[in-house]
Amino acid sequence: MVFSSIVFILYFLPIFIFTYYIVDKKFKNIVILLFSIFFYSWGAPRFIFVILGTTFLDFHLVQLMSKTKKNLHRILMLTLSVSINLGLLFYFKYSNFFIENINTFLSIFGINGVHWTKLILPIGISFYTFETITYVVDVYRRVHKPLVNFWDYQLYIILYPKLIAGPIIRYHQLADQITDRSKNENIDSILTGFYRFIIGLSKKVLIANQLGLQADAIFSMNYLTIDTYTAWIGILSYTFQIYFDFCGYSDMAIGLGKMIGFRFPENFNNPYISQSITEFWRRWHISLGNWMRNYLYIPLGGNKVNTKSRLYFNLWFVFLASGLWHGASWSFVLWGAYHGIFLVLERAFLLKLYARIGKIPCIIITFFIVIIGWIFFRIENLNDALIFLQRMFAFDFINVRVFDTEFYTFFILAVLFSFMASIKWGQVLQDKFYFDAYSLPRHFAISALSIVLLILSVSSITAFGFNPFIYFRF
Amino acid sequence: MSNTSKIYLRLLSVCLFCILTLPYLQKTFNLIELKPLKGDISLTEDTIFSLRGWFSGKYQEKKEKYLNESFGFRSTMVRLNNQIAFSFFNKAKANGVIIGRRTRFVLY
Repeated sequence: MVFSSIVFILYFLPIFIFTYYIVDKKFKNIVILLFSIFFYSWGAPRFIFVILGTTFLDFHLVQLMSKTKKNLHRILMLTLSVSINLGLLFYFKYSNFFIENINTFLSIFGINGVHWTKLILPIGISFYTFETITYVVDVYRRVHKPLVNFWDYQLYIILYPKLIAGPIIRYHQLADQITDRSKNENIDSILTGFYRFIIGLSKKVLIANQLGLQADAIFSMNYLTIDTYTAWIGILSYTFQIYFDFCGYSDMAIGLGKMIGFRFPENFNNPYISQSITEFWRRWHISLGNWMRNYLYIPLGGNKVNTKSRLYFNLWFVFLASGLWHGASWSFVLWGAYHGIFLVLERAFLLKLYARIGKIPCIIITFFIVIIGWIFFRIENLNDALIFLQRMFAFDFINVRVFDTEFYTFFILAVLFSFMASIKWGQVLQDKFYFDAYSLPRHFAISALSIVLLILSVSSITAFGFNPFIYFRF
Repeated sequence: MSNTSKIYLRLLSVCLFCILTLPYLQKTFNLIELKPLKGDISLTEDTIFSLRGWFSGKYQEKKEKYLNESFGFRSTMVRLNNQIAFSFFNKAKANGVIIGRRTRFVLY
């Protein structure tokens, strides 16, 4: 079940909200848990048992770890828990990739490949595995005490608004809210959460889907015959599609959480106005960046290493891992490595150069680097990606494809909303909308706007067959 | 925030909730008589729950398709989408409709 579906918006959500607010306070977590189990089972009825089983094991391992005083035992429990979680992730997500590569290698020497039944990837496994790791590591580091009740832990992992595509919420960020959200449960939160959900829905349905349709049409063409203008339209459409798709999903997740008293961390902050790749990763998928920094980069030594080469290796390795997290394919590894290289170059000298050339050129350069990166993210075959890249710079403007007004309208809207925060009034407007306290008249105005956007979104979903979520496959 | 404001906000949230439930109410009680969509449409029938269907995912697939095609005000939503496409972008999205110079033609 995706948030931008009729079954979620018109059936699941109203029933959930109604049930949540009529039951007594002590049953609210049970309601969320039951609805979350139903939500996940709807899309992955068998894999729900994998989550329930591993969370049971994890919870008890962490309980044991927190009770034991011997450091060696604590390390043992930590290693066991992390191994189980990463093992499951590797098994479901990377074994197909691993076997395929082994078989390719063996075929070079004329040896028969390993027979293997392809596994189906459980939805959201990359997200909840990282959350289970934060639980055990945060307790190990004594950042926060473990949860006393198993069902509370289950709720932390399976909480449906963030279960399938994040934000990845670290344990200590949510721990206290699981047991007590009374200060966040008020009418203002319910309403602003609802507005945020509708904004996210609109980003996804009214912008990302429209651009995705054009991107898919272009990326399914024969790249050898594509003209330069079409190639640029294709990659720019995808650039904005992936942003509005994922950012829209995060908005919906944050909004849904807010409606039931949770405060989820922000996951996007106008990434396309970044002035460097370093800044881009502070603005794009923030929760993944934070996770990588706290649970991989810092344990590797982070900045506190003896040599610069070790620092650059740490940076690059984290981005390689980040690429691999996105998918079991060499194209994702390449994409991660590509970003990692720019991060290293920026640390080495590029940031000093950027400081001299001013804000606008920096934004343009960074945006350009990001666009090129998306080619490897979007096209799995490296040869195809290189042909597409070559067509982008072939300056072939013969037989240029014509695009309709509808596409250009949504494209311009996407550009406007992506870059508006690069100027002062745009940032002010955004802050007022997302973070300022609402007065009564503003509540009425935004409610009216939300109703209009809801109707337009539902109308678009109804008549539009194309409704994929890009980040669901991760 | 004053108590009066809180009351208004509560009323507003109830209104928004009612709007979310309107399609369900329309489907169940047929509140407003709506014109059905024209043309040859084959609608998916509702499906019966079974554990086998649930664990294979087929029940969810069929149920979702049925709910997508049968929710209240669906015909209005389809018409609205088509009207927006026509009025703003001069595009015909309804099956069997093409746009001429001065008018629309419906192909049967």
